[in-house]
Amino acid sequence: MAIQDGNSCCVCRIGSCLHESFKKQVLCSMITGHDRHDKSPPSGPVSGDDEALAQRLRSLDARLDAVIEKKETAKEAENASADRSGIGQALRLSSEFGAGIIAGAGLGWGIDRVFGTSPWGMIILFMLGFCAGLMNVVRASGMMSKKHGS
Amino acid sequence: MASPIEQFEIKKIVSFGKIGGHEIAFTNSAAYMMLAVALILLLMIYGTRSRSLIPGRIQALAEMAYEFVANTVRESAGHDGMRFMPLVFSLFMFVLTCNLVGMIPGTFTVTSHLIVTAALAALVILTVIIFGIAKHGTHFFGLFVPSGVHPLMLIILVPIEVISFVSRPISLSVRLFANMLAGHIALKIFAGFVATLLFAGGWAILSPLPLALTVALTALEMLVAVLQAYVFAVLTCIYLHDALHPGH
Repeated sequence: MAIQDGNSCCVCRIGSCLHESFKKQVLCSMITGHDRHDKSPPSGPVSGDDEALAQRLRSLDARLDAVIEKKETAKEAENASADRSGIGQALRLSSEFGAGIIAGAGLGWGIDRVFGTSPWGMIILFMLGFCAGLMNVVRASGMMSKKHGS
Repeated sequence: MASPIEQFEIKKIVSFGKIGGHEIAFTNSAAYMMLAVALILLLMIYGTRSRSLIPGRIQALAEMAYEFVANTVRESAGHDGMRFMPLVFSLFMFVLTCNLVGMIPGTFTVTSHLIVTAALAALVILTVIIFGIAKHGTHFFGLFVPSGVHPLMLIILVPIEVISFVSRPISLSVRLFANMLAGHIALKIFAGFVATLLFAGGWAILSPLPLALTVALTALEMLVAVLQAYVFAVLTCIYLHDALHPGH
C-alpha cells in the first residue's frame, strides 16, 4: 500500500512538474530519487517497479538537459546576431581608422611644439598614425570575426 | 527653411556669474543631462521597488537593461571585469537615454556635442590608465610592447601602439558625436524639404517623398541611438579588459 502510494505520488509529482519551471523539475526528480532510496523495500516485484521508475526519472533528466541546452544555444545565437549588426561594425571600423590618423597627427604636432623639431615630428607621426589606424581596423575586425567564428 | 544646425545651439537658462573670465551658466544642455539622469533614476527606483518574482513592465525593462549590460561586461571584460559594472552601466544608460531623449522632436541632443562625448571618453580612458597603473605598476606599459617581435621592430611598433592607444578616446568620442550630429542634421534637412516642396507650387506633388524618407530615417536614427550606446559600452569593456590584463 505504501509502495503504491509512493509510486502514484511520484507519478503525480512528475506529471504536475512538467508544467512548472525547469529548476523545480530537477529538484523534484532529485527529491523523488531520494525518496526511492529511503523507502523502497528490497522485494522482487517492487524492485522491478522501482527500476521502471528510475528509468523514467533518467529519461526525464535527459530530456530536461536537452531542453536547457537548447535554450542556452538559442540565447547564444541571439547574442551573436545582436553583435553582427553590420552598421555598427561599419561605423566602428571607419572611426577607428580616422582616430588613428588624428591621434598621430596630434601627437606629432605636440612633440614639434615641445621640442621644436618642426616639421619632422608631425611628418613621422602622421605616417605612423596611418599605420596605427590600419592596425586598429585590423584588430577591430579580427576581434569581430574571431568572436563570430567560435 | 530653418537652419539644420540650429537645434545644437546651447542656450543659457540661468547664469551664475563669472569665474576667472568664464561664464558659469545652467544651459539647456545641462538641463537635458539632468532630465536623462532623472529618467534613469525614475526607471531604476520605480522598477526595483516592487521586486516581484513575476516582473511588471517597468521592472522587466529595468532587469533587461541590467542583464544586457551585465552580459556585455562579462563577455568583453571577463568575470573580474564585473567590478566595473556600475561604471559601464551608468555610461550605457546615460548615453542611451540622452540619445533617445534627443529623438523626440524639439529636444536637445546632449550627445551631439563633442565636449560631452569627449568628457565621457576621457572618464573611461583615465579609469583604464589609473586602474591599470595602480594594479600592475609599470607592467601596465607592457600594453605598448607587443610580445614575440624582433627588438629592432619595436622602434616602429611601440610608437604605433602608443598612437593606437591615444586614438582610443578619440574614436570613442568622435564616433558617438558624429553619428548623433550627422543623423540629426540629415533628419532636419529632409524634414525641411517637405515644407519647402509643399510651398513650391506644382512641386508639392513630390513632397510625400522626403516625408517617407524622414520616417525611414527616424527608424534608422532610433537604431543608431541604441547601437551607439551599445558600442560605447562594449568598447569601454574592451579597454577595461586591457587595464585588467595588460600583456598581449
